[in-house]
Amino acid sequence: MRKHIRGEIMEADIWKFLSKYDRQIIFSIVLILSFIPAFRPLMLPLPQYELTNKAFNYIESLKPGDLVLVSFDFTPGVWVELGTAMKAVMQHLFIKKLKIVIIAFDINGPTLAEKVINEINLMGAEYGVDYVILGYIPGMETGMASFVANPRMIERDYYGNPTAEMEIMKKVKSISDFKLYIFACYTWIDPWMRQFSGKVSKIIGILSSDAIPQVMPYISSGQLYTAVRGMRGAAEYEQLLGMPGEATSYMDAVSLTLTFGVILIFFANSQYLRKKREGI
Amino acid sequence: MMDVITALIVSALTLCAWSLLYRENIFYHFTEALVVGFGMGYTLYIALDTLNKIWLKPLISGKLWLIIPAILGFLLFTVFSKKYMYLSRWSIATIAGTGTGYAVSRAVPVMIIRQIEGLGKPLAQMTALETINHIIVIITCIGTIAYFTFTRPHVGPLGKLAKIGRWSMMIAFGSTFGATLFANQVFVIERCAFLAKYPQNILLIVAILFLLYDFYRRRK
Amino acid sequence: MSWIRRREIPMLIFGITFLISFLQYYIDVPYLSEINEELSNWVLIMSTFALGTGLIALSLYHWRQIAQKRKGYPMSIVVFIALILMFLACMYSPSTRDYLYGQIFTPLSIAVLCYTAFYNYTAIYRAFRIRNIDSAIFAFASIFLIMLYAPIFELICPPTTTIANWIIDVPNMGASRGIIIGVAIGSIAIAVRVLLGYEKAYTG
Repeated sequence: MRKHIRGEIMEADIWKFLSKYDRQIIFSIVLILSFIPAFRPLMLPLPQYELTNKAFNYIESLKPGDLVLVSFDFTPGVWVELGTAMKAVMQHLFIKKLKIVIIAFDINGPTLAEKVINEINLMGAEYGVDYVILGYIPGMETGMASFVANPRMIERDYYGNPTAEMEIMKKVKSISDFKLYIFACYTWIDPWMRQFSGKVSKIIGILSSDAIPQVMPYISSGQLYTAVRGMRGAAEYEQLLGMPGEATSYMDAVSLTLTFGVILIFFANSQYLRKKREGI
Repeated sequence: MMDVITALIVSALTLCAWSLLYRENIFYHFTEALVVGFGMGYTLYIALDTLNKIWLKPLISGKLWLIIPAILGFLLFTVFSKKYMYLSRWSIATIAGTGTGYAVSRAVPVMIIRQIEGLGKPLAQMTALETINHIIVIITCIGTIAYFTFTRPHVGPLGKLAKIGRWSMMIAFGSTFGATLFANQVFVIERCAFLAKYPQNILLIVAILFLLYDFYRRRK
Repeated sequence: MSWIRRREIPMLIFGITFLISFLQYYIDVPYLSEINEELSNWVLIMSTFALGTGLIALSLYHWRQIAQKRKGYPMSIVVFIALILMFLACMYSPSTRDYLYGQIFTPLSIAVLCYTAFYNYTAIYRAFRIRNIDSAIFAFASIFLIMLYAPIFELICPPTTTIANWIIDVPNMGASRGIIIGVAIGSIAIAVRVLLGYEKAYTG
């Protein structure tokens, strides 16, 4: 009898402790699960996704010398989601020896573009001939509209060099000269779709994972050719390139932490049903 | 050597930022102030550099009419004065009018017509499963639009359609929430992968020991 | 000089600039595209000035914190020191700018954004309750999307990915399409309201 009552009191104490420190316990579990693969990689295989394959195959089909427009429209805080994907895609563009014009509609874009350029292998590409960073274009949608109307509107690049004399910019007469437009953004993609849709041959979005459900209508209607979904897409792209990098190394931790998320949903609702039945 | 020092500085700042998860403290406020300050400094530089390229250099080269947008731009700063705030509305109206014109003109063909065209695919060319899926897409789309009609009460057939719209929006928002969990989790994973490396992991162990000691001291 | 204060002036400016940028897309009128190009250029210049208003607002706030020695004012001093450091680095030393931005500012921004991840989990534990059919549908969709992004579920149980992809491609597609159409119609309605003067946000 005493052991039974003591057991019940101990169980109540444990629940009281868990309720009082639930936030700290959850944070600790998330951190532990995030750390485990860093010390002991699980090496789980990574299944491919058709949208990433579509992006890879289209870039693979482009010929050396084709013009590609890339815009960096995200902040440094989301570097993990979009920066890693941009690194993989930009590496592919340089491997294919394409001519790359880089712009930015976000103020952080040019420096992040520089960061990507410094961290990948340029395969002998020359600045001003094979690629150029034109810099920040203010005004968001007005800036996009101005650029679409006249891609040669920027007279000086990010470093202050005159663009009219650059070999790569001599190939750019209008927006339709670009075979592909790749943009990376963390928000609703409506402004990009409104201004670039129908103007460039194909548009590929490097988007955060939570934007993918929202952009499916654009992909279905053909306005957006395909999308690379954040860091998961970056890991898939690295596999397709045969160059596994940091995105691939993070996927083990993703599996563990998201499994915890699913378990937490079931656990939280089982607690809720239990309390509801007990009339608490 | 520089790499080691940088890694230690960044790991210390990361741990300071994460100390908010334990409780509010001065280290977190310090890192927050750093992020705000660096962001402001960078924005100031880019703003001045961009102005130099798109305004000052063309102005000096002969485009004197660019004085007008500069005056309108300076009028924006009157928003901080209660007496002259009304002048900033002229600049805001210019920026907003142009942006709205571009957005609305393209919204019709891109966001309305092409999306409605996407609903009208020929069913005869589809398999049975594709046909069922396409019908579900049409019903959920119309239901979502019906949910936002506020000029009629949601009763009868409209009510049923609005209910289908509400459920389909729950699916859309649930999908976004599930994906958001992944999108936000990767930030933690990247920082943990960084902190797990040497020499950052030494600071990590020190931080954990300090936390455990503080937790034990407060419970006592 | 009271005519300067009249609400009609910003409304008129809004209307004219709206019509120039709206009509040039649909109508080929001589000189309209040139006027539109120049107007866009002006707006780009003004948007760059607009960046300054945000900076001034933050600076004024932190300056008042320091001047009145309010609680937490040492952190406002840190803000100004960091601002000057980054600005001088950007102006005079590109290598220092790259170092501060890429090695310090970027990882720090990521660390600060980590809170959203942690608080997502506490939100799931404390607030994610299946009370009715709406929340049950929400939970059903979230669980399958979480499983879609974790490779382990695709390896253990492939049907979860099939169901998750169906959720994204079918019911989510319809709802998102409806939302896009609704947003477009809403933005047209707001533009018409502003043109007719019912929205007073720009006029005060």
